[in-house]
Amino acid sequence: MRIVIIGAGEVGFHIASELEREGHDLVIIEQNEARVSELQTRLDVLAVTGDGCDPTILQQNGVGSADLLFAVSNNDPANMLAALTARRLGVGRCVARLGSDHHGENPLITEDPGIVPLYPERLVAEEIFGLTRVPGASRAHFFADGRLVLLAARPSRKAAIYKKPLKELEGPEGWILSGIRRTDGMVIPRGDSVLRKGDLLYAVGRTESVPEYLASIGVESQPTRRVVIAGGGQVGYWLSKLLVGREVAVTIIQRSEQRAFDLAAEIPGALVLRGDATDPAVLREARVGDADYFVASTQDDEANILSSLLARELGCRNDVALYHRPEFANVLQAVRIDLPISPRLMVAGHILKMVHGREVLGMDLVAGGVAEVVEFEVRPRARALKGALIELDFPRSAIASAIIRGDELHMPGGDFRFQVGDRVLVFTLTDSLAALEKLFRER
Amino acid sequence: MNYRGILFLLGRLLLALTAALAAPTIVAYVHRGEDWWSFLYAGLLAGVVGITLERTFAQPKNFPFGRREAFVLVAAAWVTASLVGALPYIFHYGISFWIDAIFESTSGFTTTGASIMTDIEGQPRGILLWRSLSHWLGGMGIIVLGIAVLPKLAIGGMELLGAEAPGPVTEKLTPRIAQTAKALWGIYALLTAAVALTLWLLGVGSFDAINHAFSTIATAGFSTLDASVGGFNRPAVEMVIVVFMILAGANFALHFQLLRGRPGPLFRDAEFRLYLTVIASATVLIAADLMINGGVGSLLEAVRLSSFQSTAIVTTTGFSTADFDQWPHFSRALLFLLMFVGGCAGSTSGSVKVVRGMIVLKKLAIDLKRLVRPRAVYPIRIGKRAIPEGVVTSVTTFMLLFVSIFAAGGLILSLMGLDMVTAYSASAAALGNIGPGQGLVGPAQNYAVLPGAAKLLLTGMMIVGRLELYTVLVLFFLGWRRP
Repeated sequence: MRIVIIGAGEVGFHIASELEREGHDLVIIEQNEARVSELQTRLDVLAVTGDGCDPTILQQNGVGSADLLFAVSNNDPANMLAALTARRLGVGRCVARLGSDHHGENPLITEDPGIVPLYPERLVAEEIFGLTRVPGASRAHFFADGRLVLLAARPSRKAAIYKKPLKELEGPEGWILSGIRRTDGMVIPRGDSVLRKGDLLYAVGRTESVPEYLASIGVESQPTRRVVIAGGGQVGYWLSKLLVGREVAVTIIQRSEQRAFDLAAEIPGALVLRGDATDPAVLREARVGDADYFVASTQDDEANILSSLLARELGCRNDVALYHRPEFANVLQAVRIDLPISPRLMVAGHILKMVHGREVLGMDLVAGGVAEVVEFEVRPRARALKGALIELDFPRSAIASAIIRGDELHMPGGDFRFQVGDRVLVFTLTDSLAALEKLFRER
Repeated sequence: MNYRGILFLLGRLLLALTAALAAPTIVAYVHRGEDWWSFLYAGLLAGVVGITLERTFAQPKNFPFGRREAFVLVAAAWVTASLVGALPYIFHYGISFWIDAIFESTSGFTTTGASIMTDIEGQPRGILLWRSLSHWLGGMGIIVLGIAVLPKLAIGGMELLGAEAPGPVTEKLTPRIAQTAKALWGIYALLTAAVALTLWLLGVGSFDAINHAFSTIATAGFSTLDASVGGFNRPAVEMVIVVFMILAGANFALHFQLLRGRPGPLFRDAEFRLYLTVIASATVLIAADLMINGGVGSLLEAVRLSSFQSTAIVTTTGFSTADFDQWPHFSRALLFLLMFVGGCAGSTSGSVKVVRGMIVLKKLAIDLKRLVRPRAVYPIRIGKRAIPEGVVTSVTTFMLLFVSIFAAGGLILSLMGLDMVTAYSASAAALGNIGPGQGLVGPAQNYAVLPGAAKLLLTGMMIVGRLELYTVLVLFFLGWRRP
């Protein structure tokens, strides 16, 4: 596919490297010359210096024949203008990165189905918000308007779930254990698999029964009542809005005086403290000690790690830290940050979804990309309609975790039969994707 | 400092006052009052001085008009108007009457409504009309009027408007300031016409109807009757005036929205809602006090009295339907406190204004909260809007200044031999542009008995209060000698 990327900042560069790896032809337009030459040396792409809103530059670089365009600079109006211009030049789909929802509601954007707004900061905020709704889990992703959840959780070492094959265990109704992550890789569980201590479990089930499921694997979960957020940037802003909407008490720590005032003015329900989140006195004033979550969401990775550690020291139950530099992943693991989150991996998942045109979720769940959660729609005359689930030639390294049929949710057993139009959530190792495609597609 | 520009504009103002003086001249002449020549002389004098100033300081080509000029011009304009307005009284009642004349005129323009006249119904019609007309001219602001009719004033007009308009923040309603001023005066004239017409339809004589309309919409207080509005002794008339006093005490920007077919802002406005709540609560409390301690038998009568008086004091109109000085202690004490409420910002009312009270009370609560969390950022919200820190500070300073000036005024008046109730209530009534106080200056009394020095002090306080303190006080800090 021929893909154009405008703006090679953090998001743009990351998209470029993902897409280049997948073998797409990339044209990147960036204003900063130094960035351009860096791109040229690091990636096999066509990098051009120039203004992505300039129609001449777009035309010269053959944007008209591109299949997809990403306008992902950090300037909302510039991204909008670039996307609108590209649409006129004949690009089928344009993704415009936006920071503020005022721009997303602009009729120029909403009335053109070929322009897809992308809010990276909001995606990250939604992901963290999802986590706070399933305390005890280390990851959560919601489907079907929030009624269905995929969560990752590490069972308690004392839970009575070890040493017996899975089919002999009694779990709560409506939950399907879909993946087991071990130090030696990802395993798709079968009835005779046995859990080991230290496994990370991926399970799909109904949102309302999350506490029961977590209890069954010995994980305590108290509803989230208070969250402290360090950093009032876009992520902090969106997250506080979501939390305040759910009546969770929010405290934001923000260093800049002006931004602190603006946040306090814009989010009436939140308490804003002005100060440095790496200062224990500030954290104490924010009462992190009795907060359910501490979210370090500043742009500064070192500060995020440090403040998360301080928050835990002061007694915070769960600490979430954002990190932007991939090489810090191991550091965060080493210092045992409960929930490290990489915005770039998260956003990349969404970008790839747009490129592939299918639901690819949980990129960040399974680092290294060995497994994915994919949503398939059952097409008419698909192989999947031939018989009950157990009779189908379903790949062994994949598991059908849930079926969304109109308003109903189904947790499939062996005797489940698919219908045309069912949306099937499949947890799969990447090598089975092709086989799954065959199963659900029209013959 | 652009003195030429200021004098030129004052000349223009004098010409405008000449035009205004024509109205009472004609009315007095038609009614064969012997006062008509007083108005004629005053008008001629103002006209001659006005033309001279205007010609001498003919408008220079470049017209540097900044904040300094704005403050000086606004203060000077109000003093000039008050002095010119005193001329007819001096010509009619004699030169020995000069302090009283200035007092009456200033009380008129600043919409205070405190009078030194004892026998109002015995005065000629020209004089009565001039009293109400000065209210009406001062109510929306003579500078606002100037901006509306004189396009030249539009330069630096926002500063001028800010220096004169009531409320902590001045907003334009339309892109052009002259349009804003026209819109304000249009609404003002419309409301006035509505009162006059309603009163006339209720059977009030046309002269009384017009005069009370001027006084009501300017939230001023001069009446054509000795017993103020109580003189009509008609509940329907009182209720009409109550409704229009409330409207005149609301922000005119809200009326502007309403007339454009958007009633939403009026009912969602936090200040307007609190303003109504204050009036309603005061009505209930005073009615209860009147029934329990005041010997008023019927509930209806108690509500009639208390609603009128609460509204008249909160909106700083200062009409009365009863001698509330004779009411029980609680009612008197509450009415005294209500003198410090005032209507909404951007209205014709005086005193502190509801929104300032809201801001200061919220600031108080926030400062207490901050003792526990010193780093917390708590914005002060009025409705959904957060008030910038700078405005909050200036409002706090305003309150402090207001109370200080009130206290100093009361103290000096007591030094002149007035009792405490009289001294402090007169101080608040003048500074808040309300009118009647309590004690010797109560609603059934008047300011005639006060010593001359006290009258001059109160005159000054009325102008300081009308221009919301800063515009006058800043004159002492302009740095006159520095270039």
